[in-house]
Order: sequence, then structure tokens, then C-alpha cells
Amino acid sequence: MEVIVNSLIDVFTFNNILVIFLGVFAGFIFGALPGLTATMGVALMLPITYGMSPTLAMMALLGMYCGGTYGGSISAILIRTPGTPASAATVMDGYALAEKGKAAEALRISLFASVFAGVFSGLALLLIAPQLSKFALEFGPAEFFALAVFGLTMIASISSDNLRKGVIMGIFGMFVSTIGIDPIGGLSRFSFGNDELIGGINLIPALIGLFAISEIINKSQTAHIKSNEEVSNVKKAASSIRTFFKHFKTIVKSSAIGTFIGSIPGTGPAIASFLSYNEAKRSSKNKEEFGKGSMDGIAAAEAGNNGVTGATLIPLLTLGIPGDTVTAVMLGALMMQGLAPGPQLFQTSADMMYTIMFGLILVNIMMLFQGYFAVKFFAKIKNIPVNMLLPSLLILCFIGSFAVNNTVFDAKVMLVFGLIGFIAPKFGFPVTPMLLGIVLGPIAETSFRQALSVSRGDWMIFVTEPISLVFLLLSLLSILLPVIRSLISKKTNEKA
Amino acid sequence: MRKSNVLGLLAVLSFLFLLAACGSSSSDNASGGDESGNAGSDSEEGSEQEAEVDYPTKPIEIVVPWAAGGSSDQTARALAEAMSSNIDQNVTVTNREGAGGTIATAEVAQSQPDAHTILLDAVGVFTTQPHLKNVQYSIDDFKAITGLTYEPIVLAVNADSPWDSIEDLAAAKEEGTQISYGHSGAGGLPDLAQAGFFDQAGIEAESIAYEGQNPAVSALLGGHVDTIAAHPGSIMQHVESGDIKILGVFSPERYEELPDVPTFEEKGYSIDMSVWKFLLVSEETPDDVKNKLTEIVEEAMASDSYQQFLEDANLTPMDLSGEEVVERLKDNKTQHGEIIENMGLSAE
Repeated sequence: MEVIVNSLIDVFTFNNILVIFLGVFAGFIFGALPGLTATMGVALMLPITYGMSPTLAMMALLGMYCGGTYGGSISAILIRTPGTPASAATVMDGYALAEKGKAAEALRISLFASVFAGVFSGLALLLIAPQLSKFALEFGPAEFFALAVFGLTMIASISSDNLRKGVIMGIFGMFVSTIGIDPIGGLSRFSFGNDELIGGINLIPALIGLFAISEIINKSQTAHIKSNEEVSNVKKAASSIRTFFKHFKTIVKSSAIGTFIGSIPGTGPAIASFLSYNEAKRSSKNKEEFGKGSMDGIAAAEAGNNGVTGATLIPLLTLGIPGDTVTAVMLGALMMQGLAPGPQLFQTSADMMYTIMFGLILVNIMMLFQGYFAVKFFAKIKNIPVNMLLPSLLILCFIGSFAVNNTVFDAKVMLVFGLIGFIAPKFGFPVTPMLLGIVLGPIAETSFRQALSVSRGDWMIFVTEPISLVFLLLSLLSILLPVIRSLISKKTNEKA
Repeated sequence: MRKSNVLGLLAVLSFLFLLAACGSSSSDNASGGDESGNAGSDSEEGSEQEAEVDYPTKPIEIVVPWAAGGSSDQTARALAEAMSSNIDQNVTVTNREGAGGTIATAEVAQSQPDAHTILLDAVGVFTTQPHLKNVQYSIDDFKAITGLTYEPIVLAVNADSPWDSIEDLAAAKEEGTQISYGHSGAGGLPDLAQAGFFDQAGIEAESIAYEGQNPAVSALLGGHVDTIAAHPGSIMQHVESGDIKILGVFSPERYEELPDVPTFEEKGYSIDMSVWKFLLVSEETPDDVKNKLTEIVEEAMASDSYQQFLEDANLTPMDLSGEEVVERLKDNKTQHGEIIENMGLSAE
């Protein structure tokens, strides 16, 4: 107990607060710029942290991580380009709201949801990390497959206009994810002997292409027309504390989903935000609003992805196993400090562990203050003339794609996906299901094949494992319920 | 007016950040870069003696064919930091991951950059990958500078498992137990090492590929696979906490940190597999430049900060000259090729 109190006091040093402030600030920028992700920001910041004390280094990286995860929603809302894959679910409603002149309100609700979820997952890390990590280890191949299938059923809810076309795009996305080295057999697929293709299609350039490049092409077609778009009244948006409580239930639920998903190594914020969005839509009374500017949708997606931030530290700190690229970099940072995260670290340097956990909560509080002022500033992006905005965005897109792996190939991938993202919607094919396919395809494939190897080809493994069974039943329900419901409503209509 | 305010604010903020970074570290300076003040004095002597060769004339780039945060990346960054405090140029690390390290290696092999681009590679890139698929490089495209690190591969089981030794595991043959073994990727050395053992022991075992060592370790902790082969560095703490047991080492010598764990050779299985890493430059590099670079690297490797890093990261230094690296790679290549052929994975 004494350790915890001491750690709590340790957090509030001037250096910590300064570093958190700057980390969050840099995170906002990295998250908001299309192509620059929280992951990249954390990796770039790594060398700077070598000279710092371990706690200070983690504060800086956590600030960057949380700030970057929230920052992704800024560009998603304002210019329809998710800054990070985790904000792809925010795009649909966020941009619709921004077009209605409610950009600042959308940014505020996304901030409140993010901060709440961040604190929520920070508390989970502090209070129930060992239990959660035990549960996360229960996730074997069968469970991962069932989770991925459940995730893929979201295609139904994000392509409500035309389910068939949504499914086609989802499958196309899964196909794209099979390009490159086969994760199980180690053989290359669809690479045509090309070294670059053997490496596979990277998610980031695909994301930038599908959303940012296509939007730039769309916008540039009307760039010569002077718009007198109204910019949302920032002062009016101050009442959004009330909106926060209006969406409180969604935010709590999404934070819990994010925390749960984040604690499982190998999942990530993109899945969490889509799952939360899906759940919010399922339980909402105004389903039609989703995709057309629902505050609830933004709150769900953003709480979902920020709920992951604290939870990904659970497997990192308790088991020494990084769940995603960001935590892999953090693992590297701690190793360079001579600290090996894992079960032993809680015994040898418990004080530091608790300081890091309190630091995470402090990061989120800092984010609230900084975000509150930054929103006013960011909302002004809508005022930048299109003919200035588009070229600068285009440059950022190229830099972002190139920077993923320092290769021009990724910039070409971005252009190809830009064309897909531009043309497909013209024929009613939505692009978000495709992104979902690219994100979930590899998890589904790998875990499916792993599960069948473990069971020696016995398909029953998917239904005999309880967690897997639950997720598969949930997927079945989420596909069947809308169909059944529409059948019932048809029948009642006929009777009437 | 507005804009310049913002820029000014940015400048002040970034300055503060650096200040915070430096303020907290008492002994050594922040990352690589023009170390102005307290960089060691012995480094200056070194560079003066070797004034004939004009190298380095621009920043040195270490290309790492794997993602940031992994053990290769950490090694490269620790080395870069040690190197840049000894020379006047920056040393940067570029991560260019993909296809088991072959993409970055092929790129360097084909572009033949000057000696300011160094490639960090691991043994498998030259010994297993060429057997598994067609690659656009060979060791003849490079000159080796020096060996870097050595990481043994160990066979580990969950603490709850009934096996306490290699003999127990080999006895599974009689019991007819079905074993599934996890590893960091198909065709990787942890895969081959286990495949070789189960083959020699006559046990039927199913290979479960994970993407990287960490997922394999969590699968073992969660009880989803029976055994894994992995580097001891990252699982030692699970051994200390009593969650994982290590049964054997796939090297000819026992592992220092685990003096009681036998090698597979002691138990009559002839398997020698370990991951070791080394530095390469383009084959076109003149010998005098290569020698100068070797000197810089060796000096950095001897530095306290790098030695400390090796200790912290549980890595063993690999004392091999450039020529020995090439020789050993060619030896390993034949050896690994045989196992891959036995497994039926060979691309040829």
C-alpha cells in the first residue's frame, strides 16, 4: 500500500508533467496527420527517451501513445481521413457531423469519450491487471478465430445500404491481406516473384489510399467552387458536458469493450473501435442515424480505441508480451533502460510499475485539458481554403506512406488503393468493409489454421472451447437478428 | 502574425522537451547526434591515428530488416549510440522489415550502397531463406564486418506439463501422446530445431506457427501448445517466476545462465541451432574503408554502454571476424538446408 501512495506522489514531479504535456502535444499532431500514426510517433520518440530515467521515458511514450490515438479522430472528423487505422470507425459519423457544421461538437464528444476510456483502462490496469492477463492467455487459436469472425459480422452493420456489396468489399479486403508470405507455411502468395509483394500489403498505405487519397480526388473535383460552409460555433459546443452524460452508457460500455480487447495480445485499437461501434449501433434506438452523423457512434468508436491504450500495457507489464507494435517499441524502451517487463518486474521495481500506471491516468487528464483548447484550434482547419489544404494533405500522405517502411513501394500501394477508394463508392461499394477485411483477414486466417493444426483437423475445436463458442453464437445472432426482425416487421405490416 | 506565434510556440516546446530529456540523465548524453560535451576522450585518439582513410564523411545508416523494438533493433540502436559518441557523424537506424529479413537484404545487395550503409542481418537470412524461396542475394554480395550477438535456442514447456527433462519428453513416443509445438514462424530456426528433435526422437508432432516469438510464448503460457523453442532472453523471467520450464539447449555448449540445463547433443540428438547476428557492407567496399569501419564498430562494441546493454538484454557477444562470419554462414547453410529438405519445405 505504501508503495502505491509513494508512486502516486512520484508521478506529480515537474519533469513528469512537462514530459507528459509535450508527449500528448506531439501525439495530437502525429495522430492528426494522415499517415503519421501513434506507432510511428512512439518509434521516433524512442531514441530521445534513452537519456531519460525509465519513468520519464514511459511518461513521454504514453503521452504520445494516448495523444496519438485520440489525435487520429481529429482528421477523421474534419477531413474524412482517419489519422490512424483506429479512427476508421469514427470517419463515417464524424465527417457527416462536420459537414453539418458540427465539427467542434464531434471533436468534443470524441475527446470526452477518449479521456474517459483512457482513465477507465488505466484503472483496469491498476486494479485488475493480473486477472485480465490470465484471462487473455485463455485466448488460443480457436478463440482468436471466433473473435475475428465476430468482428467480420460488423460488415453487416457498416454497409447497411447494400449488404451484398459490403460483403464483396470485405472479402476483397481479406484477399488483399493474403498477398505476401503465408503466415503458417512460410510460402509466398500472389507475389508474382516480386520482392516487394512478398512483403505483403501494409495496412497504413492501404488506409491512407482508401480514405485520404480518394477524398482528395473527390474534393479536388469541386475545389474551384467557392464554398460558404459554416463553421461550427465553438462556444455553443461548450455545453457538450451534457452530451457526454447523454452518451454516458455508450461510453462506459465501449470503454469496457476497448479494455477487454486491448488486454488480448495481437488484437489492437482498430478492432476495438469497430466492435464498440457495432455494439452501440445494435443497442441504439436510432439505428438510422449511425453512419449519417451519430454522436453516439463517435463516442463509441473513440471510447473503444482509447480503452485499448491502458489495456495493451496489461500483457506488456504483467507478462512481458507486447500486444501490438506500440507496446513492442515500449518494451524496447524499457529494455534499453535495463528493465525487463514481466512477472519479475512487479517484485523488483513495483514502485516504478505503479508510477507508470498512475502516469497513464495523468496522461489522460492532461489530454482532457490540452484537447479542450486544441479543439477550438483544430476546428479552424475547416476554414483553410481547399486549394491550400489538398496539396499539403497530398504531401503528407506520400510522406506517411513512405515512412512506414522507408520504401517508395508503399507510396505506390497508397495510390492504387486511392483509386479503389475513389472508384468503388461510385458504384455503391463501401470501402470501410474492405478495411475491416484487411485488418481482420490475417487474424482469421492464421488462427483458423493454427486451431486446426492444434486439433489435428478436428473442426469441433471451435465449438468445444467455451469462449470461442460464445463468440460464434454472438456472430450468428448478429447476422440473423436483423433478418428475423425485418421478417417480423414485414409480417406485421402485411397484417395491417 | 498568427502563424509565427504558433511556430514560436512549437520551437519553445521542442526545446523544453530536449531540456527535460537531458536534465534527467546525469551520466550520458541523449541519443546519437553531434555529441559536443562529455563524449569520451579516447575516441578522439582513435580517429586521429587513422586519419589516412576519409571515413565516415556523412551520417552512417544501420539498416535493420526487422521491426522497431525487437532484439535486432535494440542491438542496432545500442550500437548506433555507442558508435556516434566515438565519431563526428550521426549513426541512424532504419527499420525495413518484411519477408523474414529478405527484402531489406535484397535491397542492399542490389543497390550496393557505399560503406555509409551497414546491414545488420541474422543467420537465417543466409542459411534458411535461400532454401525456402528464391532470393535475390547471396553472401557473395557482401563483405562481413564482424559478428555481433549470439542467442541460443532453448526448448521450453509450461510449468504444469508432465515433462521435466528431454528424456521425459522423448518417452512421450511410447505413451503415444500427440504433441503440438509452437514457434516464431515456419522455416525459422526455432521451427527447424524442434522439427529436427521430434524427427530424431521419432515423435509425431504438429508444428504451430505464430507470428514472432512473443505470440508463441503467450501460447505456451496459455497452454495452447505443448512446447516452444525460443531465445532464453525473453523467457528467462517466466522461468524465474516458475511459469515455464526449460528442458534443453539446441547448442553444443550449455547456456551460461542455465548451467543445469543439458544440451540436446549431450542427450544424443545432434542438433546445433542458434541465432547469431552480424554486420555487413556492400561487397564493393574498399578494404581500407572496411578496416576503418571495423575499427569503429569494434571500439563501440567494447564501450561500457554497449556492454551494459548486452547484459541487460540477456545477449551474448559473438566474437567473430568478418572472414569467420562468412565461413560459418556457408557451413550453417548446408546444415540447415538438409533439415529443410527433410521437412519437405525446400523450394528447389
